[in-house]
Amino acid sequence: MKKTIILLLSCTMLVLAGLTANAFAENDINLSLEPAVVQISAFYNGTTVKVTGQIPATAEAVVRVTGSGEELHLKKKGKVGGLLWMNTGDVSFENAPTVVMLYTPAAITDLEASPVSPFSFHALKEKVEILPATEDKDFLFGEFLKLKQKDGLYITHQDAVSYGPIENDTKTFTVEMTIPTMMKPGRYTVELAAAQNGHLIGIASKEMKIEMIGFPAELTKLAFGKPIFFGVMAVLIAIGAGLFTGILFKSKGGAH
Amino acid sequence: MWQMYLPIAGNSVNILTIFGLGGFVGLLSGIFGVGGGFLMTPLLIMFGIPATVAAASDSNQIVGASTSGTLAHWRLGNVDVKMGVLLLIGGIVGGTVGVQVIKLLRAMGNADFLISVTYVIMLGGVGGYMFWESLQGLKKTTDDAPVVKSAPQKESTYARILNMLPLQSKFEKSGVTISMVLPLFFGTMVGVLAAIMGVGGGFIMVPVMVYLLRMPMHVVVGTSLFQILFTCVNVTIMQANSNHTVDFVLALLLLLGSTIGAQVGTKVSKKLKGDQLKILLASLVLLVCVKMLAGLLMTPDILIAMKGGH
Repeated sequence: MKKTIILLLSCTMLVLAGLTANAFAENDINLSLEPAVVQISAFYNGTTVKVTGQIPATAEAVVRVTGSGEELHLKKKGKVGGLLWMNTGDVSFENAPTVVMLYTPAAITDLEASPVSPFSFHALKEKVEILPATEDKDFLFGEFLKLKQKDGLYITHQDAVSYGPIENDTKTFTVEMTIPTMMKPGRYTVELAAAQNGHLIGIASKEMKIEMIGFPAELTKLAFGKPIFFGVMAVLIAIGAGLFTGILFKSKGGAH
Repeated sequence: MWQMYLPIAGNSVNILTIFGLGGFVGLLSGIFGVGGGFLMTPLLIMFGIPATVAAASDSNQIVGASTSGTLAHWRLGNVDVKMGVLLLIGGIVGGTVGVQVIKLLRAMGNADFLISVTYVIMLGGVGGYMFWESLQGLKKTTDDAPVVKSAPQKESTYARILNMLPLQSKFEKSGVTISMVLPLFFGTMVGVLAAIMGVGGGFIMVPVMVYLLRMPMHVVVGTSLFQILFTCVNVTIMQANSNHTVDFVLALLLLLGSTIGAQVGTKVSKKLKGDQLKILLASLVLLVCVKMLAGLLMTPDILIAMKGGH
């Protein structure tokens, strides 16, 4: 009888501890962005966005930024006649995010082997569709990663998460995200994954927006809204600049 | 501080770098009478500009550079308008035919192979011949041996054929009397090749004018720039309207450098002899040829590429 009571009490305590842990995880995993809206003006040269938040004291934070999925048409290179390298066919990538930037803490060196593996590039490969389906997906996805990494749009920043002091069984984290200039205007998802004791205990997300303002915004509106006018204007200004320089050089007697 | 955002290219660039790039290519344009697209577009891609935007914006800047260059050459009396207009008409017809040829080749599935091989053969052939020929010319001028007057040379077969063609006309600036059919025909041929290779065609047109139309080198440079100006006006408006790929900010930055470069280039060109000009252009064309050949023979780092580049 005594043994049964002890067993029941132990089970109850374990269940309660588990429930507390779950409730704790859900309530205390959060993030915020500063700024949440990145503005591209005429002299924009990329920027940094600060991601801060809170996770359980013994957890690790991984932050991921992803752009919307796009359809990409690419050319495959191969050897022709056993000698010359050139384009040998077309391949399409569907649902490939425009950007994937990962920020991992020092404690996680191998993302694929960690509880946060759904954030890894390997997991992304399963979501991306490559057409025609007969193509070697592993090989092409590897080359696609290299292409995106070259532009700095698919990147993993290791040891990029810093933690604050522990208070009430929670700790704060900070990630300084570098926004490359090649990240186009649009909406991006910033996700935080928290891992604890070998498990993924929760995910939180926020939206980040990149938008053009001022001169770049007006010029883009003109280029897409009134393309013929834009083309003629570009030509006239170019001719004007050419004539102006010509006259300037003449008046200066052909300065070198 | 010196960075500027390019809204159509979707990237940021260093103002001084792009200005310098424009200046360098404008200088070549002023010296040799080439648009410089075959050099500028790959350089812009190297600086992170998408291939389609690089090509279209380059056309826009060539409008400015060739206006500046044409004006400078006009003042020096180096523009043969009549010849330029005939070559231009031929170029437009050839360009239209070339676009259809490339469509057909793409449907057959071996367009890229033919484009690459055409590029290397054209660059290698034109560059190699020009280099050899101008080297012979330079050797002759440096030879101190007394000049012995030879008997009048027999008219070549090529010259006899030219004289037999109808619509003979005198081209005052070029100092030649040839059939008007000739510039129309060569303009069309260069237009076809330029459309297939996706370039303005200045580096093919210049040797055609020198060797086949027998125009003096200085008039060739001015006339080539005059013709390129109109070709690029057309390309810029078409690209802006159909593909929205003209980045005006990029073109303007390039322009600032290239218009000045073109003026300096014209002064340099005036100080150089015809053979010196030819050997310099030949070296440049051969350099691009070697680079392209290396690109075809060496294994690329990445075995896929975005559509739109060469």
